[in-house]
This record gives sequence, structure tokens and C-alpha cells, in this order.
Amino acid sequence: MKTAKKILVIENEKATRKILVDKLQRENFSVVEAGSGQQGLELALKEHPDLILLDVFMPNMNGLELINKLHQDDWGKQAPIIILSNISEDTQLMSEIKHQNYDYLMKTNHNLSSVVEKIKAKLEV
Amino acid sequence: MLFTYTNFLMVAEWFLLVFVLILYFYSQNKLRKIKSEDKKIKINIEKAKLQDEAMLSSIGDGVVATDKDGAIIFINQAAKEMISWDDSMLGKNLAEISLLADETGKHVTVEKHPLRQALIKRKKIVSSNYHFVRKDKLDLAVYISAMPIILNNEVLGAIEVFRDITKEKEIDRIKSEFVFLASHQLRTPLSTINWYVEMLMSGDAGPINDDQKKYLKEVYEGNQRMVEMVNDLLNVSRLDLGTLMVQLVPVDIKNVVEEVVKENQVGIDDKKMRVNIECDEKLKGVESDIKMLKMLLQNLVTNAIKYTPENGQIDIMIEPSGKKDFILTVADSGYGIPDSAKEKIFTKLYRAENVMAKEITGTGLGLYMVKSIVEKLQGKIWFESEVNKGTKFFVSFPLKPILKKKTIAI
Repeated sequence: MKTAKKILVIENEKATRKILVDKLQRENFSVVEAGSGQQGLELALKEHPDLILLDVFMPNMNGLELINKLHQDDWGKQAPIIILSNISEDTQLMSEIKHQNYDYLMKTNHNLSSVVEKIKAKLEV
Repeated sequence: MLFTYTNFLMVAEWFLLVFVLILYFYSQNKLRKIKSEDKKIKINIEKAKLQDEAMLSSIGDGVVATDKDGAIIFINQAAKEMISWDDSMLGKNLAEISLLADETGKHVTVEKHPLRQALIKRKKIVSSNYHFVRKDKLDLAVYISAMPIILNNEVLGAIEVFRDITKEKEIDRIKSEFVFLASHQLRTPLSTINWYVEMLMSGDAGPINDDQKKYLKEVYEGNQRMVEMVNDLLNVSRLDLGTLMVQLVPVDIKNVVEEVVKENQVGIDDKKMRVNIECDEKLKGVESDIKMLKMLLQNLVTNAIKYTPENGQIDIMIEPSGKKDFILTVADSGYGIPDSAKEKIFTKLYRAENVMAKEITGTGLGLYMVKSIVEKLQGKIWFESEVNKGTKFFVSFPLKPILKKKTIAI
């Protein structure tokens, strides 16, 4: 049996984080969760997950700052990330994030199953 | 006889003398009068000059004038106070005291200074994107308008008027920030509700009966409407605030139409509708803002789907119009717009009674948004509609819109 792929969910909104974790566990992924950017960064560097689900708008350290910090690390530079956000694409923060060439999903435009589909496609499982 | 003659000569001499004297005094008097009038005129000119200067100096907005070479010849009191200048700036060239910076904080080169541009281009230059960098390092956001001073077709110099818009800029910033926060804070719980309901409906958290499923579906749909409403409201406020900047790029319009139709495929299939897309092959070289164009099409297409009964038809046509424009038509075979509603359909939050009676949900923002996008892209919109026959929306856009920018020529 293949070992389960490890996904790190970085999301400060508890309800959103919990349902993502719940759904992904049901889909047989191994899930690690972080409720803040700082915690997420530490876990990412420690656990080296197969995929990071990253929220953008978080207090203290937002998604963009986290990405910039990750880029200072050899593993972090290539870390697979899917950005999950509710911030409109035409805002400064989002346009900077989009420059980073990561996959981007708008939460309100995707139901949970389509988020899972995207994750599976990215992980090729 | 001789005596009489001599006598006559003497008398004549006398007369002559008196005449010359009168003439002399008269002219002296005249000269004095002229001199005094001259003095009066001089005084008057001086007075008028002082009055003009006092008026210029008292203008509440900043006024700076230069000669035709760009050397400063006048600064009024407001300008001195606003940018902490003094009379020592007089005579200096703008090149020496480039104190203007753009929105990114970069110093504006002399050539790009509105005053200079007004001199070069011989026309009015307006901008609200600059700020003065003062000696005390405090920035002052200003609205600037610069005009060349032209007399008998000759440029004598230029005059610049500027106004402190710090407060306006701050209000704009706060509004944008609010829209940004609202977009995030309102959408987050809405997407979470959607996901939890979806999970319950899928049976992930245990089996649910048909009634429960039906009610959950209502919750889901209600929440979905809220998402749409939030998105619409945010787009409307972005359009109204002007935070949605128009970015023109070459656009494959047929491709955009097909994408929008594809995004609405579920709704189209649900109502068993047919959609035709026709694009004239001759149409080339369209420039537009993709995001706005999509938003416009999205609204017209979803309206066509929403307000057309099952088995209906939607025709979308794109064709050139003359050499400089193209027309986009979205036609449906739907409920139509009653005559009483025709004047009001582009009004914010307005909804026609015939579709309200059918309990078709909507925000009343769609066509308002469409209209506002059409205006931003320099287009025109009109429609033909007959109740229960259908509606045809026509939108005409220039192939290459020329945008009215906040800053002209800079």
C-alpha cells in the first residue's frame, strides 16, 4: 500500500480549516493543519508536505509573506502550493500572489468536491 | 496815413503777442493737464496691478506661473504655504527645484512637469496623481491643472493651479480598503457554509433523508444567492469607486464569449436551452479589458438564461460595425421587458415586475454593472424587447477604445 500523501492546510479561519481537514482525511490524505502563517511556515519546513493549501489573507503573516519566507529555503523554493482565497483578483495582494505562478482557487467559486479534485490532479493521485 | 499804418502794425504786434502768450499758457496748461492725467493713469495702472496681484495672491489654491523658458515669475501666498516655498524661488527654473513626485514616490522629471508639458503641448494639462515633496518631508497630494499663457498666438509662459487633495485621497483609500476587507470577510463565512452544507448533503457525516436533503438544498441555494449578491455589490462598488482599472489588451472576443457560455453550461443544460454563437471572421484587432468584458458578458448571458423559459434559445453575435467599432448582440427568446420597465432597467437595484412575479431571483445590479462597464470602455448599449417574445441587447464598442485617463499627456 502506498503511503498517504501529506497535505498541510494553512488557514486562520477555524471553520474553514476544520472542514478542509475533515474532507481531506476522508479522502485518505495525511493532513497537518496550521492556524497562522507563522505556524504554517514552521510546519512546512519541518514536515515537507506533498502539498500546501494556503490561505492568503491572514493576520501577522499573510500568504505572500509566507511564500517569500519559503523561498529562502531550498525545499521551500519548489514546495507545491495551491492558494485558496477569497480576495478579489484585482487587488494588489492578489496580483503579487499571481505573479508567483501558483495554482489559485477562489473559495466561493469552488465547492468542496472540486477543491478535492484540483488537489488530486495536482498530486496526481 | 503812415501813422495809421504804423499804429496798425503796433496793434497787430500786440495782438500777436497776446495771442502767442495765450497759446503759450494754453499749451502749458494743457501740458500740465496731460502730465497730471498721465500721472493719474500711472497711478491707476499701478493700483490695478496691485489689485490683480492681491487677487492672485489671495486665491485659496496654489498658483505658480513661469515665463516661456520655465523660470518662475510668480508664486501666490497659498502656494508658498502649501509647498513651503518663499520668494527666493522666483526666477529659478523648475529644473532646479523639481519638487513633484508621482504615486510611487519617484521624482517627476522637469520635462514631465505639468507646467512644462503645458508649455510644450500648448494645451491644458490636468493630473491628480502627483504630490509635492516639501522641505519638511511631508508629502502633499495635489490636483494640478496647468495652462499655457498665450497672447496673440505667442506662448508667454504657463500658469499652474493646484489644490490640496490629501483628504480626498485618504477617503478613496479608506473606501478601497473597506471594499477589500468586505470582499474577504463576507465571502469567507459564505464559502464555509457552502462547504459544510455540501458535506452534509453528500452523506459524508451520515445518511440524511429526502426532506433533510431538500431543506439543505434550500440553504445551499440561499447561500449561493448571497455569494452572488456579495460579488455583485463588490463589483458595483469597485466600478463606482474606479478601483477597477481598465487594462486594454488584444482580445479574442469569440474565445471570451465561448468561455462565458461554458461557465454557464450547467444553467443552460438545466433549462434545455440552445445557444448559438456567431462571430464574423472579418472582425480583427479588438482591444478591450478582458475582466470587464467577461463581467459584462456574464451578466448578459446569465440574464438571458434566467429570464427565458425552458427549451428557449440564446443567440450571441459579434460583428464589425463600420471601420472602427464592433457590435455584440445577446438575444434570447424569453419573457421580455415590459414597456413600463424599459426606461428603468439600467437603474441600480431596479427589477422588472414581470420577472419578480415569476419569483426569479436577482439582485437588480446586473444591468447597472453592464451599463457602467460599457461606459468605462467607451461603448454604447441599447435593446429591443417584446413581452414573451424575447430581448435583444446590443453593445457597441470601439475596436480600440481611447480611454479618458486621470492624467492627460503624462
